[in-house]
Amino acid sequence: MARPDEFRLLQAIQEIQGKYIEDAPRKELADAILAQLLALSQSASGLVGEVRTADDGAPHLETWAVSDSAWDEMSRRMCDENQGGGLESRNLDGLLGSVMTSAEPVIANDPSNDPRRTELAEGYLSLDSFLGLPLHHKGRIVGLVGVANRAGGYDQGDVEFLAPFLGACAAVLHAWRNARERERLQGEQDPAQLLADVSSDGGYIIAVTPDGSKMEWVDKAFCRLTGWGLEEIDDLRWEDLLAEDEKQRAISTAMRLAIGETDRADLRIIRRDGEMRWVHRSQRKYEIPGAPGSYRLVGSFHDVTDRVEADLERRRVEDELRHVQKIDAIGTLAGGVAHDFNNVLYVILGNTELSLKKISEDHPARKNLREILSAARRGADVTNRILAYSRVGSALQQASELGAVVAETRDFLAATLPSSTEIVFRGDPSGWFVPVGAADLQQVLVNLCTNASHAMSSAGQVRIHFDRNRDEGGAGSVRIVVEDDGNGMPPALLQHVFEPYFTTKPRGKGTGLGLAVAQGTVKGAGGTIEIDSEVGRGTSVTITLPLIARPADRIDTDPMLPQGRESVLFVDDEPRVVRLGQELLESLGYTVEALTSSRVALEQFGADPQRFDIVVTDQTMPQLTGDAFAREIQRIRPGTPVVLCTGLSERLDPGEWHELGVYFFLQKPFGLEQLGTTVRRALDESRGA
Amino acid sequence: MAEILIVEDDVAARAVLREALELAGYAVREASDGEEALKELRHTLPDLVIIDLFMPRKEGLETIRETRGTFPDLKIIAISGGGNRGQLEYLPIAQRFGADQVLAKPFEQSVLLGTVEELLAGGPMIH
Repeated sequence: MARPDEFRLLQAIQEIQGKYIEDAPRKELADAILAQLLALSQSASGLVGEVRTADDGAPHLETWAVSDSAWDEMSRRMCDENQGGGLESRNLDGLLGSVMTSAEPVIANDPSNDPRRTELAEGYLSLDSFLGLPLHHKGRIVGLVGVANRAGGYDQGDVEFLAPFLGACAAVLHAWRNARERERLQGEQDPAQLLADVSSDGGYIIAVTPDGSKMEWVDKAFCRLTGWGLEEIDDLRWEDLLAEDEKQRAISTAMRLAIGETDRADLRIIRRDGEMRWVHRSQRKYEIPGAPGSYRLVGSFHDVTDRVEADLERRRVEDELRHVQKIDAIGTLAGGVAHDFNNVLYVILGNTELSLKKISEDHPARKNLREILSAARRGADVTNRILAYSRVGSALQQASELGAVVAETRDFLAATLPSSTEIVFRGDPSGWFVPVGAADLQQVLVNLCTNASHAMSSAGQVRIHFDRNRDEGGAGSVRIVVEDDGNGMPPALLQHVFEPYFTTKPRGKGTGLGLAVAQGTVKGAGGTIEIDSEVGRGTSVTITLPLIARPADRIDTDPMLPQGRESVLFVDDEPRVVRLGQELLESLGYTVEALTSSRVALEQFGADPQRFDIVVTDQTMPQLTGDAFAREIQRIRPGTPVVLCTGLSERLDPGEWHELGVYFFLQKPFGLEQLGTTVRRALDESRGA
Repeated sequence: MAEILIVEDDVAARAVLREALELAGYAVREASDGEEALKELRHTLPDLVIIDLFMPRKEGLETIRETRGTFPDLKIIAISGGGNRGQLEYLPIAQRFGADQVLAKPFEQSVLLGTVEELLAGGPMIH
């Protein structure tokens, strides 16, 4: 029987390749191969199958196409399982089996007597002749074909003739299988892994065994976020990523994980380059089946540094605001309480005084009434301290001489502090004036020294330094430092010490108002107060207060007003005031030029600067205000004494006083007596200076 | 005999003031708030008026301003136990509104009488 020519062979190969390229379904491809195979081999029936190698190395056959049910029957008898529409055979006996095992062509033109034939297939397919051929690709068997029952049987020539076609089939089958494998791999690839590749969340799996923990898997984002390379993960432990204080969090984390919850937390990690980042992490614990005490932590995290830092900043600002509001509210409350108490105390004080007037000198109740009086005064002292804190009290600007206050304070402290506390004063503040009342200033010093003494559990020294700073212009400022060798305070306490009613002292030992009052007083006078402390090293409180010239508005009343013959330039825009001022000063012997315009006054002063010995001016005037006028006067003739008359609302920053050449103030409203005395004093002191 | 008007809502404080002033020889009239005070002032003008700053109906500050506007030469003393409306210094404001003197409660009788005496005896004040 003549074989088809080579042209026919090429056509067959082309069709099979075409089917593959067209991406035809497997069945169509297999049917085409079988049809071509039957035509080329002029066989009555046949089979096409794929040979696959199991994990244990044993080949098995998966049937792709058969020409008639008889092959099916034969194959089925060989089958262990039916899978995916094809028949899969692991039975390696028989003719097909020997093609698989030998990977060589099998020609059987007398199958009935062929030793390779098994009993199994007998009777199902009537075999006259059989040709089985392996499909090889790159030296490995990838499939096989079987044809049967050609008249005259098969020979080696058939094997050679079919070789190119079978080679093409093997290549197609291999390619098809590769494609399917790729699909399978892609299909099998964990979608989570695919997601992880594009996600910005770092994912990880940690295996924890009784021997320790190990990073089992991480994704690319994990590496991006931590700065660790994929290849370095074996050497990395999760703990290495955590910021030091985050490690303490591990306990609460472990508890949540233990009860099967997902642990979610913001925490700080340290990148490989040392940079600290905030991340939000979610993780969960999964027991490893069959391994007691071992589990996996599966988690992911993302960078939330920007959000957390913005949150922290917002919280810090809010805390600060709350703090300020709290202090304000307490100030308001304290002011209200003090107001009510002062009214009550006034009634007590007044009635007690009246009672004392009504009873005889030797009345036994007199002693009790004096006690009431004394208690009412102490009560007033307390409310005044509260008012000092809330800055409601102290109507008039006060001033005191530091040297005198310190001398008094020294005596007071010697009497009140335990003898184990040594008080050391350094620096001589005599002659330094500060814009704080003597009682308030003494209270501040006593509060600070008492705190310092209490801070020392055993004997120790409290040092008070005074020094003056003249660099700031004006009269300069004074720095008062109170320091002790006590126990000191941690930063957490330090931030609260100025809060009213905050105290570290036992109940009944401290009011919690000491530093708050000190702060209220110092700030009210335009000063600053700072505290510095270190546990075990002691505490120091530094106060800075502006220094002022010797105040002129607190003068002793002298029935005889001091006189003078100097020339005074008196300026006020109120004609009535000018008239009164001129009248009084002239009655005291002064020569007075009284003007209602500061501009005209400046012109007169400029025309003959030596004409006037002193300038008395109102602050609030149209065109040229008192301070600007004073500045011009100083420019023209430095050192000219100027008395500035101000309302209380026009209180100037003490630092500006000297700059304006103003050493003396008259607070409106003032009496004529005060005017006369102040002018005399200003003249005398400017000459002495 | 100089006459003094006390404007004070607290009955007990008013009684103490009255007694202290009467003992010192002054004639005393009373008003319990600003409106009553202005009515009294229009009726007969006293030599001096003592005004508490916090009162119902018409407040002290307002009363002082109106009094000063109507009676420029009347002597006024403002008294107060401090502010209860936040961190404001009320007594200096009272001075700006026209009070000649201010006294912070609680004050001793010697201080009160001294101030009254000084104002009644004193010459013109420069405002």
